[in-house]
Amino acid sequence: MKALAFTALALLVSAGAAAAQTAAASLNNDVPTLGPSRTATALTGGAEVSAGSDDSSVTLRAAWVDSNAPNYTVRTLTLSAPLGKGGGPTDLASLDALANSTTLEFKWSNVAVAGRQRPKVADLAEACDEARTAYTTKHGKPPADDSSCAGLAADDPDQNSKWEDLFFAHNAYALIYGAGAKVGYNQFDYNDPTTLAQESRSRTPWSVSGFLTYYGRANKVLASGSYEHQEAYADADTKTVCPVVTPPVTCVSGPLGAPKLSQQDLFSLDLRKMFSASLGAAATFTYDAHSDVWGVETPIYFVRNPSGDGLTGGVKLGWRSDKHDLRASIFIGKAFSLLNF
Amino acid sequence: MATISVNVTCSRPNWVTIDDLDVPLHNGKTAVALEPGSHTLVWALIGSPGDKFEAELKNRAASICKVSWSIPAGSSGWTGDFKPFTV
Repeated sequence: MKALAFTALALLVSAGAAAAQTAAASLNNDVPTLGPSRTATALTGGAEVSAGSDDSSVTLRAAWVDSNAPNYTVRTLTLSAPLGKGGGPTDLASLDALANSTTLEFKWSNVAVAGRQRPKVADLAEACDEARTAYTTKHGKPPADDSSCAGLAADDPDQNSKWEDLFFAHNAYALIYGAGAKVGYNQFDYNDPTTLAQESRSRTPWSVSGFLTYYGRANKVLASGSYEHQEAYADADTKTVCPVVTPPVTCVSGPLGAPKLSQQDLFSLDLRKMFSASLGAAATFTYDAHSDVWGVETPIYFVRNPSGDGLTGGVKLGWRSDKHDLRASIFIGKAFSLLNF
Repeated sequence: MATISVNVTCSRPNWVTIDDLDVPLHNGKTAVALEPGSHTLVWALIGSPGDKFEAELKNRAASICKVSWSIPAGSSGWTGDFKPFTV
């Protein structure tokens, strides 16, 4: 049943990606570039639809953005299915009890930004010329004709600061807060403890959450605190049981009994920073007040996507206090993002 | 005056101006009235290297300004760019 649900979602994602490409092509007369995370995006009447996959799940996402300058309200609806029942080796460090469920999540975020500048065109042209000259001096040849001014400026840290000062004040910051609700679906197979007959039950885990994020331009660090209450289910303990009958005896092995309800009250602190053009990292510290367990998850990004702009791969480290073992995995396809919506 | 349609696609908070005129949209289409002559499209956004910003301005069916841009590697993510165009 779970395999069927996953297949249906995979087909949905595939169809969504194809539809998204078609819609985008009709708007722009060309097909958008698809990165290694296999995402596709389309604009449909104010909503943005994207489909994609990363190292642990496939997703279909719709976003609605209401602009009321200087604030933005972003609403997203995300359908997600795990790629494997067990998830990645470090995914459990997030303490997310819904990580192995097919889920539908609604999230609402409000984005307030302070410190935006209104650059004058003459100043932009002057800064662009300066960045072009600096590039030519540094590389001994002029840049390509189609080089963007931002790209030229980003080639040199000093030029980049001058360029970006035209758009945002040095102490500019974004304050983002929001809330979300998630409902999931799981199918559990287990052995009845009395009859030893194989049974199957579906369960509907859910969660509610809230978060507050600060992202400052000066220190280039995003810090986010969040709380999430989860009601999820887990397999009963696996056992091998043999009935007391005359031979031959057929034993059964697997979860013995119905899935168990588990509750989590997760308090998280998420830190993200781009250290250089080829190194970004995040660290998420999570505490489950219900079970008094800590988890730390640290993805380190250093693999660039084919276009060379973004970081989409690296190494992920995970640790949780009740297991006491450090786990590491390699991931590819999940883009590093400083914003958490 | 010519009625110019503006179509913006970006998954991150962005601000778009034409000359000194705010274009009140984040994602989607709107229309602005412009005098014939030279103008400049300016955009600013917050995101991460690799995040894309796309825009197209049309005078009736004719495309007069088309942008397919992404935050470059080496940027802090608080950035923007501009493109002149003619109506």
